[in-house]
Amino acid sequence: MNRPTKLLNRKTAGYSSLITFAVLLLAWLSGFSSRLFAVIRFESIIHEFDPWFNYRATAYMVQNGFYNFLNWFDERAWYPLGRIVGGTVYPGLMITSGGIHWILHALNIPVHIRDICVFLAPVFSGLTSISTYLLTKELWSPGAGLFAASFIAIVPGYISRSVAGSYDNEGIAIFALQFTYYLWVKSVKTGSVFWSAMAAVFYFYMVSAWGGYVFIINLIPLHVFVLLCMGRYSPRLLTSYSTFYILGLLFSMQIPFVGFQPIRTSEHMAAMGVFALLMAVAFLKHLQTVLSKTEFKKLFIAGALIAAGIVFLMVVLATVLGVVAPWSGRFYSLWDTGYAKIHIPIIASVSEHQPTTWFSFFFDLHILVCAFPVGLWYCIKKINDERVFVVLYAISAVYFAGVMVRLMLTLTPVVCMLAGIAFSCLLEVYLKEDNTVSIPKADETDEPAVEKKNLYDKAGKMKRPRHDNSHEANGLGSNLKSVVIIAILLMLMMFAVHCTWVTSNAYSSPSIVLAFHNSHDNSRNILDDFREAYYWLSQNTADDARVMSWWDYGYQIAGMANRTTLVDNNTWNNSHIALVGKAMSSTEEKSYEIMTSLDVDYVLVIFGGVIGYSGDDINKFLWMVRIAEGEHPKDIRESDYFTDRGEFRIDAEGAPALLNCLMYKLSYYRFGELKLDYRGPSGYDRTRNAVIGNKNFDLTYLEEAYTSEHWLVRIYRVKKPHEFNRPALKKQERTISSPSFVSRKTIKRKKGYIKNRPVVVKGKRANKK
Amino acid sequence: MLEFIYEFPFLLIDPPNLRIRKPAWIKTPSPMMVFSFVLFSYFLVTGGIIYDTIVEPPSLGSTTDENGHTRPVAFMPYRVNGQYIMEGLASSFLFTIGGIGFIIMDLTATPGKISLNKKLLTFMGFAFIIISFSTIWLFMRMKLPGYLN
Amino acid sequence: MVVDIKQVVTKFYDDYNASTSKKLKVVDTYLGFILLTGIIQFVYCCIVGTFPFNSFLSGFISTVSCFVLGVCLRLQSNPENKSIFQGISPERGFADFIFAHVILHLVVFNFIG
Repeated sequence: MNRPTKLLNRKTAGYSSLITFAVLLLAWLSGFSSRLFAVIRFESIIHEFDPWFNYRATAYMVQNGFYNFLNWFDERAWYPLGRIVGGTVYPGLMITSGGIHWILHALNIPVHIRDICVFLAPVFSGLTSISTYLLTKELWSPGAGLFAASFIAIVPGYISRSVAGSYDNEGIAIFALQFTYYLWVKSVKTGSVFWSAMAAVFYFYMVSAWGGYVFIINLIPLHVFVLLCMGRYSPRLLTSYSTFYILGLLFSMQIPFVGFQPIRTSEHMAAMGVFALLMAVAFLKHLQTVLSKTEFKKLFIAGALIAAGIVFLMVVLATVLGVVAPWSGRFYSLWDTGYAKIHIPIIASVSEHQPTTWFSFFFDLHILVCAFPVGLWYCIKKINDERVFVVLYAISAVYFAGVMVRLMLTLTPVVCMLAGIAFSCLLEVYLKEDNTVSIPKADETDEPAVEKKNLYDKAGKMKRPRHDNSHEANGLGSNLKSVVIIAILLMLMMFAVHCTWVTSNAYSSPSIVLAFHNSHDNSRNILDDFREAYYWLSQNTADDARVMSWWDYGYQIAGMANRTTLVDNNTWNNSHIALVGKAMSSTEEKSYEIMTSLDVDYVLVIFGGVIGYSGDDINKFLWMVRIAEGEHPKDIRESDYFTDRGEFRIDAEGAPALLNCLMYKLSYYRFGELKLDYRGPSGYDRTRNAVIGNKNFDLTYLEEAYTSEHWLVRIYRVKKPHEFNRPALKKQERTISSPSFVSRKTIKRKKGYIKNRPVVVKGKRANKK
Repeated sequence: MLEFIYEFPFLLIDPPNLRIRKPAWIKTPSPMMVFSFVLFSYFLVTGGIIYDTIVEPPSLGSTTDENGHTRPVAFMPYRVNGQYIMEGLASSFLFTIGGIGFIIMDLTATPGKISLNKKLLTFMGFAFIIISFSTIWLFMRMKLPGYLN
Repeated sequence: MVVDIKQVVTKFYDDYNASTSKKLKVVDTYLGFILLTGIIQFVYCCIVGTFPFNSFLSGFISTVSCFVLGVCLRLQSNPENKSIFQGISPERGFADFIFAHVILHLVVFNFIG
């Protein structure tokens, strides 16, 4: 009797590990392949803006070595200030891809660094799904883990940041985040120093990869604190947290960009406070066991409260005294949600820092958005130490995701985990056979596996095996059960379809190359204006030419054209950006002064009016005005750029300040002569659907240098002072010499000349005419 | 010496004669209390309450049709980063309904219920899920007409 | 009053001597030593200043973490806590201790400048 069950056990164990392996492999493969839309449709290029900098930095590191990279002073950015790259960057991403590059080359596999950069995020998505599996397994069960792994492999909320070519910090950081949490949960469960040391090591990796590490260093202390409040203290908690904190503190200070922040800024103070509190609690507990007095409990509570109070007071005092830096604006805007809108326009101007609407929740998570509270319900119902963690993770992530669209990314993994728990429990209920007592574990892991294959097949044939199985096995209510199961499967199938659709339509555009659908002949057209213009820059301008553009395009100009930029996407210097904004929003004359003071050689603007591209500079223009107003409130006023009725219009009714500013002129120079349609008027802007208001004007201080094929990128050369005729002054504006001025050309000294008069030159005889 | 340190504060203050007790209403909240609180805040956040407070959109939009009549519009079409207050609340209500449907489905598993009751519960949960799912799908079509095409 | 405290302390000391195993006593001595080092460092920095801040930090944090790790080791190898730390034998605890120390000191060497 004993032996066969053992054999059976071994057999099922073998099957379940095989299934686990297969599911994770499939999740990896499908996650990888669904991120390749951009590569297949376009080509293997780096997307968007920030990835271009990361790519440039990686290439620099691969070429010049790690130490040169750390000491890299980039004089081509933020002219004339320059940028210390090594100290202002999270190097984890570059080191990761540089390391892969090095290993592959050591194995004699010659892969270009660009391809590694392009495919890094899809590869890491597989690692993310594995670590999600591990974490969910620790929290609930292996079955739920498999569900969670397959969800996170294809969920759009994560794909949006990790498609091939989007070479950004988040791509590897989510993996580091999930794995750190896994190790943390593991260490809380066992109390082992090893696991918490490993958690600290991965926390180090996370710190090196992304600024979002602050989320970890606040969430874990919060977990500990809540556990203490719930009276769930145990020595395990002490060993795991104290080891993690002290090692993590030391490790995080190794990153040059982070520096001494972990002991100086308020974001990190909570962790330190909880550390002290935990130590105090542990000390009191220890005294309690030694002295064994019943009254000690009171002392313990009082002591803990006093310790917490003292720590809190110290932090507040230190903040007030300036030893500890207060919350930085970026983090502060997470609490006081209106803060960024009023005080930091540069943060508010980025579209991914906008607050989230319902649409994004559903678009990025689909059915999981419904299943998420269910998983939470299960976790709260059967609470234990590590489920407290996931509940806190869920609540905080939901809040942050509501504040910023960008932070949907941190919400996505926890949603996948909780939805995995929900679906696994639900299927457990509905697949459990009424009469037989089967081995629940094998049953449980079996379901998601079948499930999974359904998910990726996307064809209709998937339902059959499951249907047959449940049909013949069940007795009472089997019809109902199978209907429910089929409905759930259909829903999951819809989820897969949704994910694929969203990925292919919304998140797979490189935004360097634009594609649009031509309705006339049903063909796909590719607009390659950006690269065309950047290539022109790199070929036709001097090597040290300085290009002024709005900060969005700084990284791309540096990365593709290899020219010096004034401002770029690393928005560390607000006043510099405001200066560029002021130059863009002043009149040509005034901005010429600014441009000469900044040694600008070329000005680059993005103009979408010809093809109807909505992300161009005129649409971003109000932000330039706002940012400029923040620094130069005397010269630039936002209200000047609106009409009397408070509208932002570019046609003849637009505000005169707008129609005469540099950005407007550069965008619409010669546009008034352009007729896009036979019938339509000339100078018709397709993006804003209006005829422009200021059509015929000339540029005095600049000249057009290059305009790309679809007018998307326009480059102007700034003339040197001797190159242009001073503009004629109107009569009223001329400064008339005051009447009190007495000419020194009095009668006696009057010296006139007559045309063609023979000139006497000494020592020569005058020419006779 | 020690005595003095102990007594020193009491020279300055006169302690009132009362016992501080933990008030009866402070206790660890029950799991379901916590959950309902969380669910409610989830409802608000997915409805974009933070967006509403920052951007302050109107509760309903309006358009002018070709005859010059204004009529209300519930959804802000094509703008994925914008919403009216009502549409957000409606859809987050549906999200929550869907979640509750799942929970009801799970409740059928608790032992000691008669068969009819069980079936009724299952049906109810099922209906909740289907309704919320299909309605959200409709909403998506209104918001983004090309959805899943 | 003083006599009272004296009594408690002597009782505590006797209890400790009687009930603690020799291994734990070694660990306790180690902890006491680390604590002393930490205090000396702190006093030193108060008097002299923290000029090479990273050196001071790496020194101080390394003492704190040695202390913390020592406490963890003590907790894990205490036979009374066996039921709490299931699956962690004193040997395993010691191996973990060594592992944590290795990575700690690698980083400290890097940081000390």
